[in-house]
Amino acid sequence: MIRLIRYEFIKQFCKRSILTLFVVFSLANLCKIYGEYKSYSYLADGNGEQSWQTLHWQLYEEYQGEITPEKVERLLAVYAPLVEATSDMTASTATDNPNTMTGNLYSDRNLLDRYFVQPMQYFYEYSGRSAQVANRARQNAALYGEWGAVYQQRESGAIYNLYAGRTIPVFAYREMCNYYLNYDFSIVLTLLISLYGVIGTFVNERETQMDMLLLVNPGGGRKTALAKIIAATMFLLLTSLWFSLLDLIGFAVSFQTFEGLALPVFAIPNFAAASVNLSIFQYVLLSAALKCAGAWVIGMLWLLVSMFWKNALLPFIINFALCMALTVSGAACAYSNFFWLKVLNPYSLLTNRVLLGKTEIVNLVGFPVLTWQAAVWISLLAGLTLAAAIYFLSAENCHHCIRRAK
Amino acid sequence: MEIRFENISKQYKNKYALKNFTATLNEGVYGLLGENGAGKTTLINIFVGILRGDSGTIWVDGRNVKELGKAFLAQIGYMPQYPIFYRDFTVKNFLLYMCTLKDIPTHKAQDRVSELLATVNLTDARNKKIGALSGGMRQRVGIVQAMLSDPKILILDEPTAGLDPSERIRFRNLISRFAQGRTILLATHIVSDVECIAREILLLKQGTLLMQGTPAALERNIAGKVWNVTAGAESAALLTDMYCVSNMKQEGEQFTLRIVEDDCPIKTAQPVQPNVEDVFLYYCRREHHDTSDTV
Repeated sequence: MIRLIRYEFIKQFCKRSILTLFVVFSLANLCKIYGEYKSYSYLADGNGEQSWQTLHWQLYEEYQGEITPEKVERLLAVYAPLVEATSDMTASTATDNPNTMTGNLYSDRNLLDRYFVQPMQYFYEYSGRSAQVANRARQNAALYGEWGAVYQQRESGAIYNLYAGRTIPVFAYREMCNYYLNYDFSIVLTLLISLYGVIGTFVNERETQMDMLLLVNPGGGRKTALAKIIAATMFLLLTSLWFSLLDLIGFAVSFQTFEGLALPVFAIPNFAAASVNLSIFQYVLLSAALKCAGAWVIGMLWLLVSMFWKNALLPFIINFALCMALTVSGAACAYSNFFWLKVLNPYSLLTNRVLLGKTEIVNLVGFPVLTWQAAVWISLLAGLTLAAAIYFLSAENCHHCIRRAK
Repeated sequence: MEIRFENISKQYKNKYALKNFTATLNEGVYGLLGENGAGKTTLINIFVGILRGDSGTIWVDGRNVKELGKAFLAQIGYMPQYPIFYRDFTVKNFLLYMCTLKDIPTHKAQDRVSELLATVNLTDARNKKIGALSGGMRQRVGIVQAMLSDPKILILDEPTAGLDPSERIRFRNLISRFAQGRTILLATHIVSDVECIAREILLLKQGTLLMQGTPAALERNIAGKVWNVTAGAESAALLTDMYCVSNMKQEGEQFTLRIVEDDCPIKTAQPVQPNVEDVFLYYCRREHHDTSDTV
């Protein structure tokens, strides 16, 4: 069986066209990531002595690590006079002021504000805010308990468990992680390559008339279909993992750092209400796994649709339309309160920050379940059902299946 | 090995593709001869299990193939009509893949592939991509893949379609080489493919087995029904319209026609020794000819 899977993988996915697409899409992705850095990061201003890039990392050496009152005081001692000097907007706008770090007072203030004061303030205040949420959830749980509302009590209990004890004790650079976690372009590339790769799995056999020859061999029929399902699964997982890894490496190389990966994910403003208590690095791993699950379910759907056609064009169009429908509906309900629509749409697993970035809970047979967990279970169930349908609907040698029936 | 087809039928809507086909095959080459649409591929597809017959049973050495199941598949080598295979695979990789499909262990597979490639004179092309092969070479790859498991039964569906004469002869000789100790069922509508090498010929017409016998026996069946006629251009045209003409050769102003007809078509006609092509025409084209004649 392993030999069969290996051959199926080589046959379907080790084609020059697919490898070329991988290279082209990977380069396009890296260019896009570098474009993000150049467009949005204030640190992309070169390596001059007075550049933000240079100064930031010099200051970072001083403030990184555990947030202590001394560090806060030291930072405010530099920052407060700058705020005072620039608050009425009458300070000098000269760009060669020798008494400043960057050559300009406003620039100094902005550098400190954006990269040190705001993040440190957010980190410092976060534990208080999450404690508030946890306390409110505990109070609600007690109240619901008195009322006998079991589900609501459980839900509040789950929120309490999630938010209790959340702190961000360490200050670290978070800009790279912020852009990385909010980056979606590679999902489109993953879907396009996956669609192109998967679509030929069954159709190519018909186009080359190998489907008949396969049926006449002991390893053909459903055994080959199973090998195809496994090979396609491997391809989908590898594609998703590759682009997840490429995103991380691309951002790290563009921003020239891996700093921030040890921060908790709720250190990123978009993830303040995250439904997981993980470090960003752990989140990256979980996100990659969820992307794999989403790509696998969509891939199995494509595979099932494509197995009924004699050539690739029509199933490609149908599958592309299906993909668009999932994408558009997924985007439409991403930030809505229709939690079940997110849970049921495998596209949500690909853009998983819509599930992980906010604490959203659905009622699953009386138990509160986080939307991302429900989405994973439902997707796995759907994927397995689709894979089973492909297996049982694939052609089998008449003599073989009659004997099996007996 | 004895293969017995018993009342095999297959119907598409209201039309029989195969009707109560009954025949017995033993060791040797069996030519399945018939026009396009006669039911040859349907019979083969039912035999190899690609298609489910509506009725009938196939027995191999007294055992129903439906009971043999996977064990039956291990006994057959099949070459489909117009095989394209995988263009991006090299010949060797494709054959090793086929070995995997046939559950042949890796160490045996390498030796078997090399041996068969040498037999069909494709050793030099083993690392060529299948997409770069000529039609004849691809057909030879086709027969190699069918022979990989050293099957007792070899089924070839139109193996010489589209080949040039030299490749066709080469292929025919290969079939003869592989015929020893096994049953080969060769479906074709090209008479010369089976005329010289077939032990017996099965003549199919509109899904019905018209007759089965050795080439000589079939030829004997129509002895005295093949005629040579020499005629001028106008008469030749008239004779072509009226009779079933298996060959027409121009010699100067005159034409020599080979006519397949029960009775002497004209007084000057000379009876000649029939060949399998005449047999094929006699049984397969007769009805068509009669129809146009009536019209």
